[in-house]
Amino acid sequence: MTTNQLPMPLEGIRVLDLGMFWAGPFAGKLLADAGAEVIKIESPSHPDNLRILARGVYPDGEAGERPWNRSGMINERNRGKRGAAIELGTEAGRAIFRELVAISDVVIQNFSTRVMANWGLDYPQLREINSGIILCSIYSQGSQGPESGFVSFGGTLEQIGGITNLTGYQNELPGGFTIQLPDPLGGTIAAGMVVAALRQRRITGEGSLIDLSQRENVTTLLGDEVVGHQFGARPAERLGNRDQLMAPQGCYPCDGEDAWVTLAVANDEEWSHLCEAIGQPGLREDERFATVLLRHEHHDAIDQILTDWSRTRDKHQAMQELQAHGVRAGAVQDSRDLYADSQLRARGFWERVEDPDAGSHEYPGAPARFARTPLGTGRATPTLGQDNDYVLRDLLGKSEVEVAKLLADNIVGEDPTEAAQLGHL
Amino acid sequence: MTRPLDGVTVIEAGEGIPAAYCCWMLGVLGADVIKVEAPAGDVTRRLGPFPHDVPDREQSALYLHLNRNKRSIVLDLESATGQELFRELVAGAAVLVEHGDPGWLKARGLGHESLAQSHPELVSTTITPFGQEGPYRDFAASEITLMALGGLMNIAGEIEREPLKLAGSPAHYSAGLFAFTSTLMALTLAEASGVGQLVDVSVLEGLTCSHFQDLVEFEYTGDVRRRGTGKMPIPTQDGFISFAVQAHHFPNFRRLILGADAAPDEASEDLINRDRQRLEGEMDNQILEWALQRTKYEAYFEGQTEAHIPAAFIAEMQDVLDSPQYEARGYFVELDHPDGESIKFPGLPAQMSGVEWEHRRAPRLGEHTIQILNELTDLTADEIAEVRAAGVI
Repeated sequence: MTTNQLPMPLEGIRVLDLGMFWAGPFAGKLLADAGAEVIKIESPSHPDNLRILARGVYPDGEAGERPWNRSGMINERNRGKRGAAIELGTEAGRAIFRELVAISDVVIQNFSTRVMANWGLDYPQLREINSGIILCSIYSQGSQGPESGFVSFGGTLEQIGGITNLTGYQNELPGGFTIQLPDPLGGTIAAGMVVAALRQRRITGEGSLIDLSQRENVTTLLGDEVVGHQFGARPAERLGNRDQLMAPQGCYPCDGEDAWVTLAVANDEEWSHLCEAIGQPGLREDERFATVLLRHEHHDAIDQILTDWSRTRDKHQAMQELQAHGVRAGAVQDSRDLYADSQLRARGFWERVEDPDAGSHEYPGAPARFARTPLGTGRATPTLGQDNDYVLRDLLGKSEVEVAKLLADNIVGEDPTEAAQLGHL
Repeated sequence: MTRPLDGVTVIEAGEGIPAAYCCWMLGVLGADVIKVEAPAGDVTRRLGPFPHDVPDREQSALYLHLNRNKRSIVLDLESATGQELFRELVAGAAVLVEHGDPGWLKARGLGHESLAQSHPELVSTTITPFGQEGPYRDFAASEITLMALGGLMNIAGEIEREPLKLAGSPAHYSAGLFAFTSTLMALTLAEASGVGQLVDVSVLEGLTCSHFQDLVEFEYTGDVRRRGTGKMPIPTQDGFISFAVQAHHFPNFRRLILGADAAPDEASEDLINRDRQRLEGEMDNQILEWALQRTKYEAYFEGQTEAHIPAAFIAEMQDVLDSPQYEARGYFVELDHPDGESIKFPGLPAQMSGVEWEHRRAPRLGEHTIQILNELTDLTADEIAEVRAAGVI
């Protein structure tokens, strides 16, 4: 095999990652996993919010001396990157950033729409420095339009993008919860668009601006609903865990606290398998359940039968018994279950890295297995300002005296400002 | 005009959402996507929803959405001739993306190793529920079972009740997104080095990457996150809104609801430890009163423009279709429907300077079979007639 001689897919590409919270940093992480040199750029006055808003997610709950480097929230999302802390709010800081733009390929940012313009770091300005630069702007709703400046989180995007209204317990109000799916999915498409823009640059010699709307990214996932609505085909009712087509489909209680198993039946053959799996082959002859239309009609009765069966079983045991008969089934897994999950273990999914301030931990790995160039870096998230020297001296060739002055002037640093530590972000 | 994937031919095989979604995006970016369908057509042709609820394989909304910017060829991969023609198609392509049971192509002699022998730069992206190996490899799966196993259901819904599935098929769509990004990375290397590879995407792994907070909480502290108690959406005159108020938004939020003259609150200046839920709870009645004087869109707009807080409204599908923001961005793409009416389809959620995305309607089953065989194989007209008579195409 030539695996060892192969470069990583994005080797030689340098990315300046201004991402904060989740979507931006996740895009940067995916690019780092594929071999790009990703430099996470924060500042002492505005470190990535997740360094500060850690919600107590520190090793063993202990914040330690430098909590901003011990937050699990930051350490999960930024592995494999280098890190610099430069005050972009100052002209001196922006001068450093411009120097970096001149020697980089990609800038990623997910600030609200005004920030880059206020700093004089809009795409036209970056382009003047480096015509090949690719600026990937991950906005809530894109750069133009009446709602473009609006602020959002994953949960609000789920609502305005249209998925929340369809989600909820059957015939009740729409779900009053969020799971933040728009963030990782926004980061994922952003990383893909960056790689596409790099190819475009190989053809044209020119960089580009990617203007991404995370709200649109939610609605695109509902394309069949969008088109179906115009067909007047079906009302947007909330189905709980049931399905428009499959029946039965649901989530059933198992033995143990908050223990559940899900299953879905697509056709008569699978129904027959389910009847066998729960030890009631006679149900196959029950006329109430003979067709998928009838199973929809008598779904409540089926749910009762399945609940009586599932209640006495461990959730994983129930899944195994159902799968042994070819029934689509899955236990509802929590974080502990996932870390123990035999499938994820067998695939080598988890990535263990050693953080200087937070110790050794396992994190979710790359979302795809590449046969010849396995993704991932095995490197920890940078501590705040960890690579200031690398950036200033190795990349930009600044002298010791210049670096010392930048430190003394608080243009670069390794600790958040006091205000930032108090949450003024 | 140049587009990023000009000159890239992509073969899409198998059925369902993930590969189709991945390849739709590749097609918008400029790739020539050839969708290989079995004689019965992709399963999504049978899933709907359909106009007037009348099943019609050319009018399934799911199919029409996922398969724009593609050409369709019908090939019976159960036949030796079909398999041979598939090889010829792949030989002219840079990328193969497929979604199906693990090993279904290999069982037909069309696995990556076999195809790559004569085509080493081929990138093959395979999408399966659990990946190409491991104890769950051959487990049967569906949207709800994957969402359960991947850990999303555990954190959705109310703690006193059963965990809840998100509507639609986000598990399968997200696998398509991960496949999209991964495929482009592998293509980059293949074009630079001449070395292709197999890219193995698992829906389960994509989902597990998509909710990190509860995972790191457990890894760092041992705490297992559960569902919440559910937060009621706030009613307005015509629907529901919500606010994702963070500590630093709170002063603005308070002024929005209570008015500019409201007495300053005495809560701690320590923004991080401020008990937001309690403070919001004390304002419940005023929030309700405020909301009921407005429509959902007014409340959302005012919260955002007056107070700069992450206000949201729960958009119904008609709201989504009528969104002035989407209109301003030109997000929806209007394409003619076979019925003659124009239908709005979701566009690509990203724009790229200097490039205008092109959008074409989804193909009819086998619409381009002859055209593709003429372009990518050596078959003569007589031979094409023969394989057609044999039911291969």
